[in-house]
Amino acid sequence: MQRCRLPHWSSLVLRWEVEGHHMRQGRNHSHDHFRHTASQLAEMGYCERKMLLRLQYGPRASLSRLVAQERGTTQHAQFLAEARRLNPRVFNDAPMQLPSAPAMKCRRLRDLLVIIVGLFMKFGAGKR
Amino acid sequence: MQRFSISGSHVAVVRILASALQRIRGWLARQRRQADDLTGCRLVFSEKTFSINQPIMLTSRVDRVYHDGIAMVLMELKTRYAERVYSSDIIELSAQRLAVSFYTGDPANDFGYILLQHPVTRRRVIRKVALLSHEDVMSLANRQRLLFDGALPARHANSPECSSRCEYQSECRSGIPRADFRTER
Repeated sequence: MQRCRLPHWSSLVLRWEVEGHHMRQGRNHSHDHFRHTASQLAEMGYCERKMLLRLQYGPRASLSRLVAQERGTTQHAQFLAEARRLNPRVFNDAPMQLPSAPAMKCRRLRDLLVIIVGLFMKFGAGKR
Repeated sequence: MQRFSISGSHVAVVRILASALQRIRGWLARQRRQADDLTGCRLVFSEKTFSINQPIMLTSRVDRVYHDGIAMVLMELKTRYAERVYSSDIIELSAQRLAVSFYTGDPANDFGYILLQHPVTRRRVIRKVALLSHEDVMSLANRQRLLFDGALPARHANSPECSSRCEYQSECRSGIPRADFRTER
């Protein structure tokens, strides 16, 4: 039986623990062994303080942001599937799989609910 | 009265029509797929991670890399409501370009494509962006290293909209305590 996947809380916590461990050990930030990632560099274009605070306090995300992250992962899996159709011999190392059709329906329903709740909270009874 | 009968010629006509319809549907599907594809370019990499140690230690995962016969072109997929390209997208794509070009040894174009996809309607828009040079990316990486070491003060986001939506507002107002952030080796 297929189940609808929830956002990866565990992976977020794991990332925080690993990065925090490196931060505490000072290992990842020595001048000799400092490995950058493209997404970390991209965070500098957004807000440098947020990048530091995220490493210090761990990732924080609202429900809508987590849903958006998961939606992005699904879109990337679809993007990869399209790439494989365009060129079956394309080089990739992604073990990405599209979720099943019932799971996709559940996610669309959930996304719709999140949008409705968000709109209600923005323009709803509290703004009168 | 002439009696209607299904002869072999009728079956053949139906088969030809079905085949034509199938070909037209396939052609339309290919056209839809190629709307975000670069014409005349060969898709080389997709969702592949590149890791380099020189000139900086950098790891990045690219969404798509095309080759036009002369140099590589990078494409990044972004799912967002607004059809806008942010500076963080350009930095990310530039870092990916550095990693891909040093990993493969092939030259990469100094421009890239951001594919913006609407999360609900799934409408796609392509934006062509000019990328940062390798030197700019390396200087950004150096700045990040200095920021982590506490040698430089971190800057706020330029946009007040970003600050209002930030999850770390309370800590940001109180400042970053450096004492427990850095560790002595």
